[in-house]
Amino acid sequence: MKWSFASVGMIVLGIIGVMVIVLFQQITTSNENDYYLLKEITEASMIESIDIKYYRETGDLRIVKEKFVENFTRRYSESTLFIGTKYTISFFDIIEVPPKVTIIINTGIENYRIYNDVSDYNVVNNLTGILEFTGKNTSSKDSSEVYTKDKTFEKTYYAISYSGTRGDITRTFNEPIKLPKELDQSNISNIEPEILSTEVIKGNNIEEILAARLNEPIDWAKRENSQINLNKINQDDYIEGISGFESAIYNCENKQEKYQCDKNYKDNVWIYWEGSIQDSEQIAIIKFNIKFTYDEYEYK
Amino acid sequence: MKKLPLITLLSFFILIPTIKADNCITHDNYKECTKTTNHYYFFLKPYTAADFTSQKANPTPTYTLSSQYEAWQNTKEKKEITLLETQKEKEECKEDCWDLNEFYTQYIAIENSPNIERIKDNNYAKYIDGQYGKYHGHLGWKINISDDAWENTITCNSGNLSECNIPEPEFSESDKTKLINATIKTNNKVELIRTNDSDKPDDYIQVTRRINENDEFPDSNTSGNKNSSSKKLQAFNGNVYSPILYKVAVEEKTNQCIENTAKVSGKCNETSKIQSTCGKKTINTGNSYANIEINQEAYVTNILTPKTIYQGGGIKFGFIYYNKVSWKFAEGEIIYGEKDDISATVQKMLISDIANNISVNASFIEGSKQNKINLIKQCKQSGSFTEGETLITTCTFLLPDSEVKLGTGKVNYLTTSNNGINNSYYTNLNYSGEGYIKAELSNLNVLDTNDDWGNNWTLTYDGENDDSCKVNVTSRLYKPDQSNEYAFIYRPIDLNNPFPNRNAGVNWYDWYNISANKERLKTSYSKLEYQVELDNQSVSKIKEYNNNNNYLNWTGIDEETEKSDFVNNYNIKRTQEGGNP
Repeated sequence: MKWSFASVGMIVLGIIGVMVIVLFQQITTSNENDYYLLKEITEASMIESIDIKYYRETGDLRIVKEKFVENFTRRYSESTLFIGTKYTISFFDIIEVPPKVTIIINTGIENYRIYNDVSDYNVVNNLTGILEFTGKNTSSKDSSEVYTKDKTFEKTYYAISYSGTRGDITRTFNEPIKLPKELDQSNISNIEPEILSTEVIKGNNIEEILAARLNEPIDWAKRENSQINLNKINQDDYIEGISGFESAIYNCENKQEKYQCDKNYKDNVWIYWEGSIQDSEQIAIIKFNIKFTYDEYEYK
Repeated sequence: MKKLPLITLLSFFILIPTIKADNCITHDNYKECTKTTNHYYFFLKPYTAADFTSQKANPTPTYTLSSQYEAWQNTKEKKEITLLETQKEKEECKEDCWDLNEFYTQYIAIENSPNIERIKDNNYAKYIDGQYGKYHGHLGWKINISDDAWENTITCNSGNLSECNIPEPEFSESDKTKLINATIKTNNKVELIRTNDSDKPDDYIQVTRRINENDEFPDSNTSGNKNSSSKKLQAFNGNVYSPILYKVAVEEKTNQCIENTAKVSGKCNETSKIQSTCGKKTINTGNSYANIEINQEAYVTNILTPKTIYQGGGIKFGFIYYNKVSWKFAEGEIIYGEKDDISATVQKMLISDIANNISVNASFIEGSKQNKINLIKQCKQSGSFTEGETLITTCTFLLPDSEVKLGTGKVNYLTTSNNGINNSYYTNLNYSGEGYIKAELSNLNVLDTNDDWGNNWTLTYDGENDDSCKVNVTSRLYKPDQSNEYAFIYRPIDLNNPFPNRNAGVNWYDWYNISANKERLKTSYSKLEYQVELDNQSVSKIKEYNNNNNYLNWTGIDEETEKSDFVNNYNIKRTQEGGNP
């Protein structure tokens, strides 16, 4: 008699065990499917929300937050056949630049019954995904190898100064420059500028005056005189030379006291020059040959 | 040999005296051509009986002027044309065969002509273009040089040809026979004289007529045909008439500008110069004549930056054009007529719409694709194009403003250029490799001198063969093998250790090295930003929405706020707990 009860008990235990196994299998398979879906949909939605406009203007990757949320929700809904209970999708701290998303999907509470035991469970999947450009030295474990150091780039800037204070022969120029596009990139850092040479452009040098005029809006973040009168291309309207000439190129962090910094351009590189000019009405164009030394995290 | 029709041969010989082929000599910077034109001057003096008697006894000159009178001084051929009277004279005539009939025919035609030309100051005279050359009427006349005004002249109010007082013609075609019958032959002296009286005009055509001793003024009973060789005249309107036809062969030297510049190849980020001098250009207004010298130089500066750009990025490209042009009277040359006249004609050489006249064709080549770039042209001028002054023309040829769409990055170029040189031309997203500029700027001359000058003023930029116009387009968004495979990767990460055993990628490295950002990553789950609950009903609605809307469609995203219409409309909560995007 007791053997028959034992047998029944064994069978019941076996059935319960199988039910538990089946339950967990169901949960894990469902979860695995859900996680796979989450991963794939996150990737697709991130790529679809890339802002190509931003990329064109900066060369960097950016996603648009609400486009990602929209596409993720739409894709996830599209891939779902039947929802037993409510799914809750939560998006946390989406970063547009660099692109990063954090998502939790809560599949809602399900009930289960094992023999006479009734309870509930829910499955939560979470994922953080990023979009990343790999560089030449990304795979290295040594952070000192990331940047290619001390690369150089040379560029000419024309500083155009129209007038000084009447009666005062000392002319001062102090304006922020724009970096050349080749260096105005997020993978460039530790930019150190240096003046290689300077030259006074005279009134009979029409080629240089035109070059100065054409480059001015591109090279200067703000300009002292935004319009140079091109009718005045004759010798007398331009300075012949400067005495006591002094110049500097600097960042606001390391400037000397007499150099300006404007809070709106505090991150810019600035050029300063001063000198004595006899005629305060004459146009002064000083040509600066600048060398930039910088570090670059090179793209692959 | 084929025989030419007789009439063709006759026409050919009739035309010979008036047409001579241009002889041209090419100098360094101009071409000198010589052409002879015959000018015929028609004079007619009436005499009443009293005037006839007085003139016979005491020949007195009259004074007049006519067109291009100054040319009389230097001409090789000037003479009075004998006006033939008899048939025999006509048959024996070999050259310049004019009879009274022909004289009066043309005289009356000149009187009735609508064409007038300026002689001096505000005085004009009539003319016609005749078979043998130009036929001129003369300015009014004076008996005394000291007289202030010209008798019977044509004046125009302030040089306005529509406001001229033109005396009525004295004769018509029906008067011709009577004029012939009233004609007397006189011995004439016609010469250009110059007075030194500073108060009066100093050039005059002086005409002195001597009436033959044996000629008598016809009485009222005289009749008879003039052609009968009797010296019997028949007065007309109480007058007899003394005609004079004077021929001056004017050798006209016409100077023209020649093309003396070659087409120029330009380099990017440099200035090119085109310069040319027209050593002599003849300006002939009909009333005035002079040779001028014209100097023109043009500079074109180009910018192309940056020289290395990632694929899909923008390049800045444009030109500035600067032109100086001036003219002066050629040294050592005589000016005939009025300087103002010459100046007004020279001014008309200026091309009125420079911006539209200059042609700019530019393209950016990426691999096998040639993409046309439409540059916006704007020009302005200052100074003046008067003698001795300089006219400056400045033009810019710059990229147009553009709209780049949020998300898709589609570029739409506009027709304005408010941002000027700071506008960009966006390279192809899918192309990496060498790109280059190809451009041609032509019609860079600001003058139309009605000859060859400036036809070659063309500037070309050929980036295919010139490194200065090349741009290195680097791969960035896509892998360099042109496979349209993205160069970036998608990775799930662990917020506490996102980059295990390696460095962060290029777009993550600097950001992740900031401690605050590392901390931000770790605490991501504390900042809920959006939440949505999905059930069968909402999923159905979304699926229906998906049927009509592509995932790549960005029209539902506001360009300014970047908010999504879908997020607004489909029950997605915004919780605002997120950090800076």
